[in-house]
Amino acid sequence: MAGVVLTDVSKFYAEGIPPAVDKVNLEIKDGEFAVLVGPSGCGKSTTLRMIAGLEEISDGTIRIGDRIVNSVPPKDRDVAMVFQNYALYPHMTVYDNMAFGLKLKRVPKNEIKARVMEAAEILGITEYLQRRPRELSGGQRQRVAVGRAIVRNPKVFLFDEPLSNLDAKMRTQMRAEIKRLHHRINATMIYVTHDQTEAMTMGDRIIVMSQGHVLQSADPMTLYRHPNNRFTAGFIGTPPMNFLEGTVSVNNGMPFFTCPEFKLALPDEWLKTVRDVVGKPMTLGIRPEDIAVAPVQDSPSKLCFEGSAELIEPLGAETLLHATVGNARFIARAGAGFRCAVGERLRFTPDLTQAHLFAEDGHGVL
Amino acid sequence: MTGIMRGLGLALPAVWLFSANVATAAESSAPSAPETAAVAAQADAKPIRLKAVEVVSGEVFGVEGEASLRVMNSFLKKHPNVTLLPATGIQIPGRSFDTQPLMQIAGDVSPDVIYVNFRQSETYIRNKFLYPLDKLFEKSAGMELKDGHLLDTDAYYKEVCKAKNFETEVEERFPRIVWDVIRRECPYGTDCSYVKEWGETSADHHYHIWAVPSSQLVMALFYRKDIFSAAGLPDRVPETCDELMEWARKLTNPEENVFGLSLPVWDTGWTTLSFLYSYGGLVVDRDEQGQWRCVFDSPEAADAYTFVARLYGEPFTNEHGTFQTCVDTGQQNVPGRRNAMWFTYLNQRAFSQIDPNTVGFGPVPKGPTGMRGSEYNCQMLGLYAGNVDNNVPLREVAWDYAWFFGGHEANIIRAQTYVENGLGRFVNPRHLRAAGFVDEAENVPPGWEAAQDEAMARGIPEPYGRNCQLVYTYLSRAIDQLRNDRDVLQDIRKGDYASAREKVAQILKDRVALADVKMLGYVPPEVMRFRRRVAAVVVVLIAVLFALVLRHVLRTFAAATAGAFRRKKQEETVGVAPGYGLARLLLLPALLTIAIWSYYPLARGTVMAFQDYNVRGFSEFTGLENFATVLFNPEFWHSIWISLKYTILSILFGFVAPIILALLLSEVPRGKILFRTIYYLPAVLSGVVVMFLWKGFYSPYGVINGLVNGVFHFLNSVFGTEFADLTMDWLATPETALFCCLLPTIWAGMGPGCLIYLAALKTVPDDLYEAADIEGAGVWCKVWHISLPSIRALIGINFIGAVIGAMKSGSEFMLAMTGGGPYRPYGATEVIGLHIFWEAFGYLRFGSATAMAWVLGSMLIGFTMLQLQRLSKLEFRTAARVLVFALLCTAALPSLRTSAAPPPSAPAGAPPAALVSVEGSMDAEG
Repeated sequence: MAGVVLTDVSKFYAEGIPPAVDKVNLEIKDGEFAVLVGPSGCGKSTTLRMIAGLEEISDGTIRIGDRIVNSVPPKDRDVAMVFQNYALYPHMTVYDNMAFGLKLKRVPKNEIKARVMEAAEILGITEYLQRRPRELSGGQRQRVAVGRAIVRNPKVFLFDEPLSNLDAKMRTQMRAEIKRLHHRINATMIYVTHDQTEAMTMGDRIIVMSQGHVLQSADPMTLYRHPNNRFTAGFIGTPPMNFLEGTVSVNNGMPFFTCPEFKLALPDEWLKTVRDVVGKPMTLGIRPEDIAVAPVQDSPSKLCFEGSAELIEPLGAETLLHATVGNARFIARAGAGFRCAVGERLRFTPDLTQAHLFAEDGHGVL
Repeated sequence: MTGIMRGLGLALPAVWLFSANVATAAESSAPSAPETAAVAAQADAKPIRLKAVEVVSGEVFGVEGEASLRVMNSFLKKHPNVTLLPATGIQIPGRSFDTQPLMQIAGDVSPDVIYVNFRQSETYIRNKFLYPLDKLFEKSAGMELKDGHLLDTDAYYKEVCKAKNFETEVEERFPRIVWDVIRRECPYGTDCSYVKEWGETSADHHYHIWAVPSSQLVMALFYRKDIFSAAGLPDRVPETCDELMEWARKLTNPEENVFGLSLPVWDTGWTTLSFLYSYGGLVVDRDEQGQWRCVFDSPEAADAYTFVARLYGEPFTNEHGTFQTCVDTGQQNVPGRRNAMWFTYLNQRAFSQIDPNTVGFGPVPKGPTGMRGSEYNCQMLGLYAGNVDNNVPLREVAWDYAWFFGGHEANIIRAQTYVENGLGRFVNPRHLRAAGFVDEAENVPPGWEAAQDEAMARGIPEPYGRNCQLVYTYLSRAIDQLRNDRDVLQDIRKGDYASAREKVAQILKDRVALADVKMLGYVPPEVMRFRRRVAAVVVVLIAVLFALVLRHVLRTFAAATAGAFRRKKQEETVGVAPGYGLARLLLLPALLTIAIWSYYPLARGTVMAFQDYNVRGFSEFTGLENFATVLFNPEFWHSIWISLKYTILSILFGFVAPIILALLLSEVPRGKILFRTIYYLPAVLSGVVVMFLWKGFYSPYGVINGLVNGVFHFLNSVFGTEFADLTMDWLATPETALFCCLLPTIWAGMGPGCLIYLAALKTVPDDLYEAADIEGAGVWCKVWHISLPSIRALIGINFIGAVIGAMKSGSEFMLAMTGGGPYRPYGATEVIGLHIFWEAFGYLRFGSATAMAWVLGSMLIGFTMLQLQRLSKLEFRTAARVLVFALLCTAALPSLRTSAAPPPSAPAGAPPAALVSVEGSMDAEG
């Protein structure tokens, strides 16, 4: 087992094109389950492939354990990779697929057998060992791919969107299995996905990437509760965080957030922080569960605003309410028993202590 | 040069095919009053299109071209209703000219007036290609004779001598020596419809005139006056064979591109004939029963060919250095090559191709016996019975043409043309005198008349017996063998001529035995009975095999398609899918095409295999005769063996090369497109260009020897080694010829052949390789464990196709590269396809050719089964776009190529295009 450290790692494909990965610094600890998450083209897969040695590094260093591996070929990095399309050798049986790497390493036959059987046991694919990949379902194939990685007992496991090709149910199931596997073998695992749910549920730590940069790297709850930029805030969480555009003002020593439609009093403790950004366009971020919904009342308040219900999505355990205030749209999470009509005027009370304020460049202000 | 001149009657018209505008250049000779009346009458007659050899069209060049044009125009003046058309057809380089008329007949484009030569005449007569000319001749000669066909030739000739026009039209043109050739027994016997048509007496044995001479040919030795004088030799031909050898060696100077003697190797039997005759030998002779037999194994022949072997292979030293040979074998097409001496027919036409001021000629040299061996030969014209039998006006015009073309008037026109062009001294002096040019006749070198007189008196007619068209082929093969024989060469180099002669004699003896069987076809009855029994067993076996295969195919495909049909049927009944009506309709053209172009010929071929097939329709059923002949024909088995060798080589190199190239190309990190283009480019060269390019490479002074010599020179200069210059003729060396024929196909076919594999490799996902990279696989490991298994199914089906293809193919390349030779004793490159081709189209033996094809087919049936089996297991899927593109390219190739050559991808087996897409996908079974 070993940690992985990336220092100023960049990847340029051609002159004049922005780098696919730009000066990425990362430290993944030994035994950690790190998830690289971000939208398509954010550089997460490239980063993973650079760690694997499948892509050359344009700049920086990658260290696996104590060794700088910049020019070490993939086979000598002691990593295993699970691909999105499984990458199983179609003409080999499941057993041979799993044993292939060990055979190349000239591991004795009985040991190969023992290791393959053990991995198969863990993954519950013992009965398919003599089948060819094309005779297996997607989930089974992915298990084989994982098994192929396990048998080699590598320092680092790399997963490149391994669940993307599976249906939703199978994805949930495999997600849990991989997580369990991590607990069981306690190996360093780096997992790439564009699915924030996967990231949230699986990762010890989530590394959010966008346009070749690492935006934030933290444990799931920190990321959720304290995103340090608007991108992460919007990317993590389902439904995503609501963003309302406006400006900050200070009246009588009290901070306010002003939209064309309403004015909200911000918590007093923000005063110190927001004083520097008064009058600048800002974004207020509030998660749906932090907005309380109530019928319209006559008493006006600087702690709430009124909007119209646009769409109601009852999910059983809760109800998602899509609403509008002026031109802005937002979602509020209401209780299971919430009822209202489309177009109905409602009062929304955000818990501003849980709110986030982002500057125009996307950085968190608080 | 000699080779070309030999086929004058065909080669020159072939050149002239591109010639003369018939309508231009009118030659006027004032016709007399009755002639004018006759012409006027003809002008009103129905227009006739006469297709004939010797017709010039397009632009003429040289004095001979002009002479021919004048003769033609003169004929047209007499026949204003006639349009003359030149003969058409393909010509095969490096092969006897005799094949062209036969191929024209086989292709049903035979001219009405055809070229006939001595050695082919028997074949033509026996195959009933010729129309008997007796009555037409008698009319033109001015004689009336009832039942002339019953007279023997001596008696008939006596009658001819009494003819009105004997002196003017007959005497010179039809000397007694030619009558044995032109007047032969009728193959129709009592059923002869011609005799009945003439209202004369039918008889089992009777004779007809089958052809008329158009010009006489006498062999002479030609020499370059300038080269002779530069070497200080007298201005005359060498008197004896020994003198010829001495002079040839003196004159040879390869540095200056000069060789002493030209003896082209593609027809050595003919080019060295003068030596055989001068030494007192003969090619064929009649035995006591009057049967023609080969006799070129006589002691005289052994002497003559030892001499020939010395010419070809004895090293010598002259003032310019030490050389291996004084002979130019004619293979290396070196620009500026000059040969000091060569043999060819003494004929005024020869001068249209040479500069008469620098070229002299004289009689062939005397042998040790003091004899001058001269061949007597004629170019002759005959009427193709298939065209003129039932068309009297055409027949008469055709006869007029044949009669006029070699006749008195035409000779005068030719003489006039030559004289007008200042070339009178190269015309037969008799013709000059006839045309009134007495002074010019005096200037003709005295050798001419003497040589001609001698040839007529003591000349040896070119063999004209049964199957004599093969005589030179067998003789050439014998000479090819002995001049390449290591032991013979060794003896000659040691100067041990006696020992060399013994070996030569043995080779000749074996060859004669072989030629006799082949030419005379004589097999003892008990042997023939045994052969027929074997043939019967084989035929039954073939029938059973094919029946089994058919059953197997039906079962396999029925099983594969039944399920699909059932499903479809169910869908149809519940109204989900439309019916098969339209699909069946759309299939119809394809089915019809296959039926017409594949199954009909197959059925016809099957019938033919049991017939003595005659292209004119006189085929007779001969039972198992063809199979009996084929199965015991060593040449057939030899060709099978050659094909097998070719197949093994083709698989080892030609089949594997594109796969390796594809693997390499798919691994190239940069410049993929560049490399692919480089490798694909040879494919856009026409096959003929490829072949001739490589033919040049292989010649003794070609690129390959050049490269080797470059290395030798380097080694010699750096390490002081003493490697002699290599002047190997790769295509003429039996050990290398076959592979050398294959190499260009690999070279040209590798690029296109690899496309399909490249396309298949493209469908292999990159992450498979990446997974392997991570797991520790090296390049070879990835190729072995990922690339190859991914295209295994494609390789598999291609392999079967390639084996079948290679067994059947190669002929086109061999045809252009070597013609099947070198022969030692059998053709080192005569693959079975080529052998069948020669059998069918070269000799019109379609029966035995189809029998061979059946035997070959039954040998390949195992592979066919395998292929069908694999096919039935394949799953058809939509493949990646790139694959489809590659397939389209591959499929389009054959149609894009215009040459006679197969697409170079052929060695790779050229699988049915649609299959490959399946193979490319990894879901193919297996």
